[in-house]
Amino acid sequence: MKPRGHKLQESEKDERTGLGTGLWKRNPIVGTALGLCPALAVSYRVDNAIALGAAVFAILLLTAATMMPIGMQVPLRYRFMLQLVVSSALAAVAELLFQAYAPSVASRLGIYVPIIAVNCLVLGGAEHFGSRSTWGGALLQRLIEGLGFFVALLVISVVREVLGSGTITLFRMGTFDGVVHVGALESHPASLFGYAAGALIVLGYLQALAEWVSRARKERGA
Amino acid sequence: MKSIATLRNGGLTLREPSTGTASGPIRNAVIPSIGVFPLQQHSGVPAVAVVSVGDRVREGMLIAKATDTVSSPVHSSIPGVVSGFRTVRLPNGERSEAIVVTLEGEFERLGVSDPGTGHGKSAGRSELLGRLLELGVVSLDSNGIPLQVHWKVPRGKRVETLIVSALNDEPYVTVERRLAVERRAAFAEGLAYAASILKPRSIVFAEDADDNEANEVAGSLEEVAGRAGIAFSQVRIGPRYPRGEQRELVRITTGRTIPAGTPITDLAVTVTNVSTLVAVRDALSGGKPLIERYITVAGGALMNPSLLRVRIGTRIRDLIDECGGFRDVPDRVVVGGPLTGSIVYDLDTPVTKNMNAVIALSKRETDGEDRTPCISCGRCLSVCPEGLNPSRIFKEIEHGHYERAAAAGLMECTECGACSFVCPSHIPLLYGLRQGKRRLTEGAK
Amino acid sequence: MIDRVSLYEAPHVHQGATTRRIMWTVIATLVPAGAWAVWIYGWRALVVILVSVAAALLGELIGNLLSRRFTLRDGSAVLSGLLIAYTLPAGVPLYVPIAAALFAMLVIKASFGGLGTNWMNPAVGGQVFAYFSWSGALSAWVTPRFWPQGIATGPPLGLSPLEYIASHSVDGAHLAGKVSAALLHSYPVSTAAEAIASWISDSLRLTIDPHFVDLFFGNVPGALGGVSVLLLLLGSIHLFRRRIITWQAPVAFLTSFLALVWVFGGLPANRGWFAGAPVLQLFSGATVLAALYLISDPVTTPLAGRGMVIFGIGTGIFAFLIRVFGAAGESVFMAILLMNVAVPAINRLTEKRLNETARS
Repeated sequence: MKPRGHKLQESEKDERTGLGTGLWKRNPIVGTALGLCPALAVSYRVDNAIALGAAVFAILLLTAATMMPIGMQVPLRYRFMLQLVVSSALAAVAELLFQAYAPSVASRLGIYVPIIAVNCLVLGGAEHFGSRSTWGGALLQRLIEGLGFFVALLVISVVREVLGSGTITLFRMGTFDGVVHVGALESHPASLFGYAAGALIVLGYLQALAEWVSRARKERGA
Repeated sequence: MKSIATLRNGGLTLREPSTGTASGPIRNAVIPSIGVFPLQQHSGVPAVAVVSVGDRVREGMLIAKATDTVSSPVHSSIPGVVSGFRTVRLPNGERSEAIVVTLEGEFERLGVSDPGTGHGKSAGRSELLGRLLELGVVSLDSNGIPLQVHWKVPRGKRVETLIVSALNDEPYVTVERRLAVERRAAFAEGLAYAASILKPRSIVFAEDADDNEANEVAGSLEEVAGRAGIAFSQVRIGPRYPRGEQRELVRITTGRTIPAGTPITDLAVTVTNVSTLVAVRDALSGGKPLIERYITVAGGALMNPSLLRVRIGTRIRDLIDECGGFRDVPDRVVVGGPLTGSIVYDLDTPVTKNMNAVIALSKRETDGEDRTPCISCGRCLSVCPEGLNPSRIFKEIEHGHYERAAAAGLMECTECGACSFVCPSHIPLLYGLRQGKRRLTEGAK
Repeated sequence: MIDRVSLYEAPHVHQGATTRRIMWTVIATLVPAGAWAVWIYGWRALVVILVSVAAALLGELIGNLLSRRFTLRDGSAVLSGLLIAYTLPAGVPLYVPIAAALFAMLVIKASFGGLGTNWMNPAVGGQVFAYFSWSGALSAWVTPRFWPQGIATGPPLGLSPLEYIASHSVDGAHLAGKVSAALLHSYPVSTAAEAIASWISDSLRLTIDPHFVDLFFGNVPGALGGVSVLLLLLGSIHLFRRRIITWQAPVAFLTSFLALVWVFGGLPANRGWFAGAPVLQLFSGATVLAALYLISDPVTTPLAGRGMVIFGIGTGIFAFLIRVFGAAGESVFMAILLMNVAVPAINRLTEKRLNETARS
């Protein structure tokens, strides 16, 4: 069902490789709880989540790709600063792109776009650049984590928006105005889920689910 | 010097049950036709038999000797023939070898009033203690410590207080107060012996606040104390359980708190009761070995609850018959009080030196409810006399965190059972706490 | 799991209380207040109560499926469902109690392990969930039976007392302060209340505003179980006598809450110190229901008496703050939740120090 990621060298029995692991146990939001603040802040609408998730994914990948060749040349203690500069630049670019092509999204995402620059998730890989791992392996690893972030954010936002407003707001495409209405819920939505409290409740259950799946996988010897 | 005292923390007010309580005078139980004498009737090392099958024994004859300093000899309470050996299961769960004697022959002591040789109060302490060892006298309370150990004052130490308890602490167990009245003279004489052995600085007489006859008894005791030059006081204690528990009693009467786990020999306070002092007097003045004691036989399932003077070795079955048998099918027969006693599995279990009551509880009285989750009502906390939090300690034990349970005060628990008694979820708190303590002490070995 | 069934261990006797009996006793003492609500507000009130209880039972049942125990008989689900209904107005749309009860049983209780393991009061949590999710629906007040005929049943006169006051004051500033005579006069009052008030002033020489009579007996628009102060008090007497609830938390809560309201309540409206209206606050907004029945939930409150006092005072402080500077009726519920969070800490603080008992 899930294709195995590119394995690292035998000596590094790091489990951070499989797609399954990346989606569940090492999933940033529900597994290692990285990048929660922006995630929960914007996930009251699905289109926000898609936008932010895509932005994080892209910046994550590009930062990694940029750091790979350079990182090796730079002494360890400067790698972190270097990464900060790279991710900030990319975040600034992202912000400008949002403002240019999707201003309404930009205004809703607000400060959370530039914050991607200092998102723990993005910064988390600094020590690995220039280490023994192969470029391909580490890059794939980051890709999976970014994907995990995106998927988790998507799920949370769908639950929150359906329960909290009775809609699923996607992007305008042609004649479709982007809003999917969910019947009865729309007239009396449970607004709690639009608030932070609701976000945390949904997150909690999703984390419980992720934990359960991880344990089941562990038992299966995954 | 009297004052009404009560527990410092917690405690329960228990009502004496309306039926099933034995009041009224103590009568002599029928002499048993078979006497079963376990070799372990005390705390310490079991005695060793000195008779074999077929031997003739006399009333009061030594049939098993003490082997160790912490041991006590066993004497036959009936004349007869040794008919065999048996393994009996004692109510505390342990097994012991026992000598079985079948009744035959004449009695020497029956009906003979005590000669009262007045075995020299002038005799020295060690002589008296030696005599007590010889006659197999143990402390007639739940401990059952041989008196030659319990009342031996280590060199250089001084007994500050001797507490004499005439309390009826648990429901149904009513014999102590009655005994204090009926054998007042012996009680006082026993106190005199205790005073000369222990030489305490003061004597405290602990009585129930509603005990109307206690004052007369106290008068005799005060006289004894006066003659020995020892300060005497009375403490009347309100009806809260577990006022009779040793550490609690010490706290109520003297205000001192004894840390849990303190060995008996370290204590500057000695606690004793009416039965023990009467037995001491019968031994030292009457030359009588410990072959009988006073027992409450009561309970809602019993036909005629009674206070009996019973020969050691009588089977419980015979006691029940003596009291008219069972009124209802008993749910449990318990040795000791209804709160702290142990279940009797076999009615042929004999009465031993350290049994003070046999209670037959009917189904109405016993607790048959299932366990439900703890609702943190806090009742256990409010009744614990040691001020512990039983629910928390129990939870730690159930999860296997014995050290955390100890940190929360597990070893301070006196196993009074008040917590289990009040728990609305019927959680077996006492059982769990005992398991925890067992684990900790075993682990420490 | 140490189970009792296989044991024959001391102690062999028991006081006789069971958790189940306690729960059902509490439920029984709540029935009069609910019956009053049905009489005052009509059949809709009964529907709300039944729906809430049914939903709570359903939620508990689903939880039972997951935990493989059957606990419906212990009465705790019925009690939670009842309490949730009692905090809602008679006209509330039915999806509200259903959702609140399910949320309470599944999210607050079952997800944490069932009876005894939840840290948040389920009924209160369900109510607050409903408040944040459908706040508009929670103002569906029904005018009571004994109001003078011809009164318009919608807002503003059909509002609960607190909301009426809030709607007439600038920025809600008058909420906790003494209500002006004019404002008081403009709110409807029943003839029965006026009769009782005049009887009291004649025979007892005590002048009370007839509105307070209405409030005390429960003849105003309000929460189902919260309006009849009288019946709640009577029911609670039985609970106190049986020691099912203890006096520490309710007394601590009410004293601190009312004292704060009295001293500081007039400040937001610039009325000065000691210009608060404690009696009004006491009789409205389900304060009495909370003080007697919600604060006394054994599972989510401290164990020891001292802890309960701290809990009560904390709840009083929060309730005062939220009511004066925040929402009208929901203040006590939110205050309880805030204190639920602190309960483990309070328990640790108030545990008797072992050093006390070990050394002397």
